[in-house]
This record gives sequence, C-alpha cells and structure tokens, in this order.
Amino acid sequence: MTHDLGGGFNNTSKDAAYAFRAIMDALARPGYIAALGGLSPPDPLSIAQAGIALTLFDHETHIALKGRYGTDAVRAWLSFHTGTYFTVPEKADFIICDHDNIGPLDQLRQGSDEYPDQSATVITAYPRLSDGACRLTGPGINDEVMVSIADPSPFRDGQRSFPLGVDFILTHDAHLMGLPRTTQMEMC
Amino acid sequence: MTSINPNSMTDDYNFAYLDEQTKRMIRRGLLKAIAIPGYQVPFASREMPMPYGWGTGGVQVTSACLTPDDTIKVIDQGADDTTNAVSIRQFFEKTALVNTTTDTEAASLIQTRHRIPEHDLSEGQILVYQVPIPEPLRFLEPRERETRKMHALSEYGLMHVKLYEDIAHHGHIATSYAYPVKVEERYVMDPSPIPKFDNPKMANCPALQLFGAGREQRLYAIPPYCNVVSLDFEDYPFTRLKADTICALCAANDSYLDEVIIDDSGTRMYVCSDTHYCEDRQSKGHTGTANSLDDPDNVDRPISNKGGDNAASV
Ligand SMILES: [Zn+2]
Repeated sequence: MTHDLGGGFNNTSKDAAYAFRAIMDALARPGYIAALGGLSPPDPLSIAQAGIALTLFDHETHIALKGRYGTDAVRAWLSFHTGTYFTVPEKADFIICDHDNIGPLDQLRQGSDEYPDQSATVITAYPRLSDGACRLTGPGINDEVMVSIADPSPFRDGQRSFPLGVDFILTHDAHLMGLPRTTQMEMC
Repeated sequence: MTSINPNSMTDDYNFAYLDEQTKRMIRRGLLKAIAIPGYQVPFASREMPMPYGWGTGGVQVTSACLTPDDTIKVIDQGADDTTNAVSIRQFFEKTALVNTTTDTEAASLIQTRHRIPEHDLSEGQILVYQVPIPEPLRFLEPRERETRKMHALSEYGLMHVKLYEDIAHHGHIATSYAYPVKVEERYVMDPSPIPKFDNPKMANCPALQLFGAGREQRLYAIPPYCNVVSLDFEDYPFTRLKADTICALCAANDSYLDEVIIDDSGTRMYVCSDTHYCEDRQSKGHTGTANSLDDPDNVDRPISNKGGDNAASV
C-alpha cells in the first residue's frame, strides 16, 4: 500500500518560520489562541499538530503516536517530512494524542533536577479552543485568562513539582494553545 | 574576521542564514526555556559569519525566531548606529529580507547588546539579548557541574554573600552591571551586562524576552508578565542607579545617560544612551542645554568629576 506524502510545507524555511512563531506565541502566552496553516496532513492529524511536527521534529527527536494516531499513513507522512524516530510515550520528546488519551503524566519524561528541559511536550487534540470556565494564571499571562478547558486534571495530575514537568500544546484544526508546566489552572 | 560583509553573501542562503536543522534545535530549546523561566537550556551553538563577542548567541536566537513579516531593530549600548548594530541589521536585511527600523515602538523584534530601550515594550514584541556570560554563579564557582547542582538545589546563599561583601566594602551594593535577578521566585539569572538601571524593566514586561549566549551555548527566557526581582537585602534594598543630571540634548530626566566627550579639549556632556528615545524627544520639541545655543560659553553644561561613571547611587 502506498501513502499520500503530499501536503507538507511549500517553502520549508519560511513556512516553518511562521509556524514556529505561532507555536512560540502560544507557549509564551498561555490562553492565547494562535493559528497556522498551509498543510494537508493525513487523518487524524490536525493542521496544527502537523505544523508543530514539521517545525520541531527531525532525526534528533523521538516521538510517540498514541491511539488513533498510530497508523501507517501518519507514520509514513511524518517520516517522509521530518525523519523523526518513533518510540514509546515513556521515552518520547513529543507525544501526539487525543485529550482523553494522554495517560498518566508520571510515566512521561519530566526532566531531572539539573536538566528540567529534558522533558516531554504533549501535542494533543482538543474539542474546542475558545473562552471558557477554566481560569489560567502564571508566567505569560496578564493577570488571568479564561479558556474552554473542561477538566484540568489530565494536564496536571502526576506533574512533578516545578521546575520538572510536562508541557502541552492543545490543538483544534489549525488552532493551538500552549499550556506550559508553569500555568496554574482553576475551574470557575 | 572582524566584520560582516553582507554584500559578499549570495541570495541562496537559507531564510535568516541558519540551516533548518540548527533552527529546529534552537526552536526546541527556546520552547523549553519559555516553559522554565530563567533556566539555562544548553544548545549546540553554530559558527556564525562574525566573531564571538559580536552577539553570535543573539543572532542565532533572532535567526530562529524571525518571519518575513518582522521589522527588526538592533541596538548596541542603546545606539542603532554603531558598527556592531549596523552589521547585524544588514545581516538580517540581506539574509531574511526583513524590514528594519530604529523606532522601538515600530519594531516587532529588537536585538540588543547591554541595554533595554527606554520606551515601554508592548505585547507581541520580542527582545533578544546578546549574552557573553550566562551563568550568574560562574565567578563564585568555575565548574559547570557544580553551578548546575546549585541551581537544581536553589543554593543561592553564596550569591547573597558576594553582594553583602559589596556592602561591607563600599557601604552599598557596588555591582552596577549584570546585576543578578530571581525569576518567578525560582532561578537566579544573569540579565546580561545591562546597567542595573534597566533591571526593573524586565519585571511584568508585556514583551517576550529571549537570551542567547553563543560561546557558552546557552538559551534562556523570561515570558511576558513575569515576576523578576533584583537580589537585595531587607536593610539594603535594591536601588536603581539614577543619574544626577539630565540629558544635554533632550533634557530627559528619566533615561539612562552616557557621558560623552564632545570636542578636542575634552569637554564632556551627558546624553541619553538610547539614541532613538533621545531623537524622538528632540523631534517633539524637548531641548537640552547643549543644542539650545551655539556658543559653548553660554551653555550651562552639566559638570562631573566622576570619570566614566555617570551615575550615583541613591
Ligand atoms: Zn536625551
């Protein structure tokens, strides 16, 4: 069986530059909803998940595909466009999954006391990204911001204490929102 | 080599010079730096077409962050027109085809050596610092293994001892550049050799602040609206150095001043270190003593006998 390997960046250098800026904006300003575009990835990858992958993955990264993302078509597309390696979630730098399939955070890489940066980033699909009843506070946020997260526990239960931890990028279609380990979440 | 010649470069350089693999490595590092404010992320610095000391760390960070839509400003000690600032600006004009400006408020990305602009920065702006020595504990402990352990355990007592020795010797904290800060109540961080006058601007800043050290191969970051506190003591609180005079060109009393020699007989005057801020004020009609009259005898010139140090502790 052959897979459709089209739908990547048209101009790798410039498209990746725009995409990175959207990703950095999202992580530097939790609650801010950034967007990227110009991609046609295979299902079930969202445009935002694909853009993050093509911007950050290469032969120096190990990634894990969970649940419905673990298809030959997704693997072939990511291999072709990035050259990344595939591994289990426990060893991965990046994990692509659904929001209800993140799994226990204490099984993911959370860094060490000396190197807290050697920790996983989870790129998860989320049903809706907009205003909502979850209050975010912390670095990057001017006072507070309200977002449409229904339940903070999958993002916070099992996180070791700062500076260790897992960082998240929530995606929906072409949209993305950063949720670094520093963000405090509270339902209102 | 001692300078950059952008005209010698061809058009087939990658966007913003760096190869894509290097940019991805720096980009992954920057995201972790943002997630862990004040923590130094190691990265594999690349050779750049300019010597260390010319801001190779800052240039690599800028290169990894730029988009074709950016308008960049480059300052060296506050000035847009030094050889170093002009070279870096031309480098990105040539390799990224971005617009450039000297206007702080019009810039989307500002690369700086040793100053924070006087104009307030705004949301969406990025300030990239060129950093020579990223490790604030290095002068206390030369071994990287040990400083990393000290950061891991938040062992910052020695840093306070060093600042307190200043007080014992000088009656005040004498450190006036690269004055250490604590970010989000966790990591002690070197703000690069900015004057401590600039330290308060790092706190609760709407812009994203990124730091790149090329030779030492470190990246670190302060996300917008962060808690950034200059280290001090209850009985010796942090004081911003405040100049005891005003700018001779624009009469600003709130800006950081440089002492400059203006003629062959060694006449000195104080002017804003931030050249754009100073020119902006002059264009709005603010006039200092030096440019109101041509006859130097009629100029009420600020006089100082303090040599190169233009500031007094208050
Ligand atoms: Zn002035």
